[in-house]
Amino acid sequence: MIDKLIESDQKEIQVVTFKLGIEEYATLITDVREVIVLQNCTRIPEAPHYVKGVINLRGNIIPVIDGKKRFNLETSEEYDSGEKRIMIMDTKQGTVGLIVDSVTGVVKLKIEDIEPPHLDLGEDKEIFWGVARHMDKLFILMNSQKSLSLDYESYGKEN
Amino acid sequence: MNTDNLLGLFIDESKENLQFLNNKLLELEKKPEDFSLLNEIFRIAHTFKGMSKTMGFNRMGDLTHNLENLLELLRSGQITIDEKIITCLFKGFDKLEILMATIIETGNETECPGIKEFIKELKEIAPFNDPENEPEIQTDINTSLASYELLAIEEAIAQGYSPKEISVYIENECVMPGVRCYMVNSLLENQGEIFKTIPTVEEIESNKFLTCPQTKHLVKFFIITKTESDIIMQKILSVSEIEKVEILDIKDSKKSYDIQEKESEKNKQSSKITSHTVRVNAERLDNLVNLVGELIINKTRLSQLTQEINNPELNGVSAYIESITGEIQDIVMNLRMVPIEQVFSRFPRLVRDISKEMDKDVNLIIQGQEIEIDRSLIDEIAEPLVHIIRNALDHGLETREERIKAGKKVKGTLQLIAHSEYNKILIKIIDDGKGIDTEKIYQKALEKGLILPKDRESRTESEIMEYLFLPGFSTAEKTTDLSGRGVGMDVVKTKITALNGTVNIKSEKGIGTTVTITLPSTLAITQALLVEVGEETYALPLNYINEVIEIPINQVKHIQNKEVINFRGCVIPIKRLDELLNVPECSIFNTDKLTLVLIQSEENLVAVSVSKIINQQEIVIKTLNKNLSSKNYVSGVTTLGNGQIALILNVNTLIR
Amino acid sequence: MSKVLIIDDAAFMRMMLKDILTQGGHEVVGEGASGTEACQLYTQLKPDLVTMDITMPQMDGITALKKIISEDPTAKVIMCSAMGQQAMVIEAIQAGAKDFIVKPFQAQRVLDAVRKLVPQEQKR
Repeated sequence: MIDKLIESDQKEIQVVTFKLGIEEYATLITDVREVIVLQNCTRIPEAPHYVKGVINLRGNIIPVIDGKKRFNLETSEEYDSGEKRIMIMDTKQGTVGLIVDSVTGVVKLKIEDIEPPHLDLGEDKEIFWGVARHMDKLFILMNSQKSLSLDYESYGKEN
Repeated sequence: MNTDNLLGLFIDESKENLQFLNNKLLELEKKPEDFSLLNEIFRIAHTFKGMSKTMGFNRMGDLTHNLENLLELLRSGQITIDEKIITCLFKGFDKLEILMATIIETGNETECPGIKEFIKELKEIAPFNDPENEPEIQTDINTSLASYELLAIEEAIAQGYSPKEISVYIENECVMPGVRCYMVNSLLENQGEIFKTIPTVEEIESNKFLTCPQTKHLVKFFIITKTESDIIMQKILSVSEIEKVEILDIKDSKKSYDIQEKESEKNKQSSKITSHTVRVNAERLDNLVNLVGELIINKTRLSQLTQEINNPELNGVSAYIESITGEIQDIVMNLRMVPIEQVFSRFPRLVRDISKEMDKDVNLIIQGQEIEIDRSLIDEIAEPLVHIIRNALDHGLETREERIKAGKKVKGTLQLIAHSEYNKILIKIIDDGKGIDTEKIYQKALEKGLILPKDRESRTESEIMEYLFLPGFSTAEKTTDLSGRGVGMDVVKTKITALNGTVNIKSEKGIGTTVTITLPSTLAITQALLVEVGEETYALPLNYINEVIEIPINQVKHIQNKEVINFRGCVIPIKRLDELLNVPECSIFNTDKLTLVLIQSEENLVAVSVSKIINQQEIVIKTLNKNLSSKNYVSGVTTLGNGQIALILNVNTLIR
Repeated sequence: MSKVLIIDDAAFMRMMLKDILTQGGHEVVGEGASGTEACQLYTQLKPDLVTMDITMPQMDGITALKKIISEDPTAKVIMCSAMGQQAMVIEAIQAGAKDFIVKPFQAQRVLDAVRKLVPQEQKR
């Protein structure tokens, strides 16, 4: 993925950064339509486990994914700091909401600062593009097209 | 008389008339020699004027009146139809539409800029002698009798006739005093010989009258007759709008009469016959739909009670009510269907205007106008369609020169076709223009960093085409007034998707583009039973529901570890929705009664247990990503009045 | 009280007239939207009086008037016209229309016209 970005003439990319637990993530700003405060989701029976439900955004029904569940992070203590947000994202499959613990900002990342993920992610390897250094922080660069897919087949057997 | 009640009707009919005017004018533009079209336009304009004036919308009335004058000149052949005139008429209709819009918005006519100037312009094109607006001139009316006339009078007297001078005072408010004169004249002709009128018949025809303090429409008739003055007086007074009549026997004394009439007032109920169609306020229709909903709920209750009481006579009545209620529902739902023509009819005008503006020749072909769709979809699909049509005309169709170069017919073709297929309605917008250049889309996508050069090969044409639906994606090289303003196909897609439909683009370079919109015809709207399962709300499509019953828990039997009930001699399996849907913290088990919704799909009859029936209501179906519900238990989503979401259950998979 | 048949292609105008007539104590026995309907309804309903719009689709008011008069020479027909139709109104009067009213309708004028044509004592 990253090599493709390098191939193009782009020197840097603009991303929205957000927190899931203590980890910091980033996603392409072009994929983010808007950020809204957390609202109640209507549960959908038999949905993938990381799908929190659907919300009604100005008359549009939008599925909402729980970010922490999607990336298999600790979710045992469900506290709401009041900073929880739903990032409304555009994907090939339509608009999807992503629940994050907080949205921290918008930064520009240099392509050269992005490294492929040296993690064994198994079947999920495509959901991240890599890890990016920025100042003294590390951001996990999310591939929203893959990670926000609602396709039952594409998220493996973890359900 | 309260005209407020009439406003709604006025607006409805006027909108229709305006649409009609536009359409007929379009036809006339194509066939300027068709006299019947001109007559049609004239007739409608005339009706329009009458209605406007009745409502007191004088700006609209005056404007229409002036347009009518122009039309009259065309009808009489005094001027011939050319493009300038057609454009002028269109302009006039536009102004009327603007006025209409202010009326719709405010209930009143407001000043609209440019109308006075436009009327002036009209008057220059159509220098019409307007008897209504012309000042009434009487300076040159000759009131004296000529000597040969006096001679004739003397002769008549000698022969035993009594010549009379009859002064007829016509009411000031009278709109067509000339016609009243004509009527008086006709009456008098039967009584004797009219040898003179002041003013002359010609003068009367051009609205010239004598004036006096009582009226501005005074006419004198000189008649040689044997009839008594009283009788003549009565005859003349039988004509409406005659204020006063004075009859002077020449060489006799002058008499004057006053008119007194009494009012007759009586009221009575009456039976009547009305015309074949009635207009119904959409709100009333919605109310009706809701009431039918209530009716159905109560019908359900009734049949339930009937079961319990089990009286054969009551059973009969109940069954009958059930079937009638169903029929009512069918009819009511059908009332909501309107021909798609209601949307299509605005496009000829749109296409004409845009193509004129872009200086392109376009032949618009419309098919399938009679296809019916739900009323609620009409307004929703108009905007996307307008957008697609604009795109086709702006980006799709080439200029004349380009077409000639490409060896195509100079006149481009735009087809707008609707047809129904199974449960779907397809709307196709087909142009024979240059097609969409996927290379351009690719370049643009590359520019925006949406695609990488590597991927070019692996993408199919239609995949590349999909980029058109992304927000802010526009391939227009230059932004015109018409399209390419940033709101593009993504808006179209969002709108259509919200209606549970799909959009698809197919294009062949140099040959043309086809945009296909597919919409559900069984509607985005359906009747559903809202039920509660635990804390969650679900909607069950009503057309699958047989009835709702409540049974004591002890009537639940078990066959091979599966719950069933024995109901009306049938063994019906019970499906517990809470278990099926994994509803958290559900307490169906804890009650001593079970509420069951009997669902029938094809051969299968299943009783579904719910916590509570909320109500039955009309819901708007919205799609849900298919992958969200792996077992396909959910067929869609609807939003309730309070913004809450209810999932619509897929009955077919549920009862399997 | 007279039995009136209203003919006008615009539902709006029919409603308007009906309001005026019923408030004036008359009975609207039928409504039609074209000349063809006018002829049909006239034979069917035998009204005391017809209000007939001049400009209508299918069959215009004057043609309908002529038809009605040819079948019932005593038919009482009031023509409804808009301003600027003087010539047509005259044609209608020649054809046997008993009176005419001009849009926009003045309630008093309409009632006067009706009363003149169907005096109380002639009431059926």
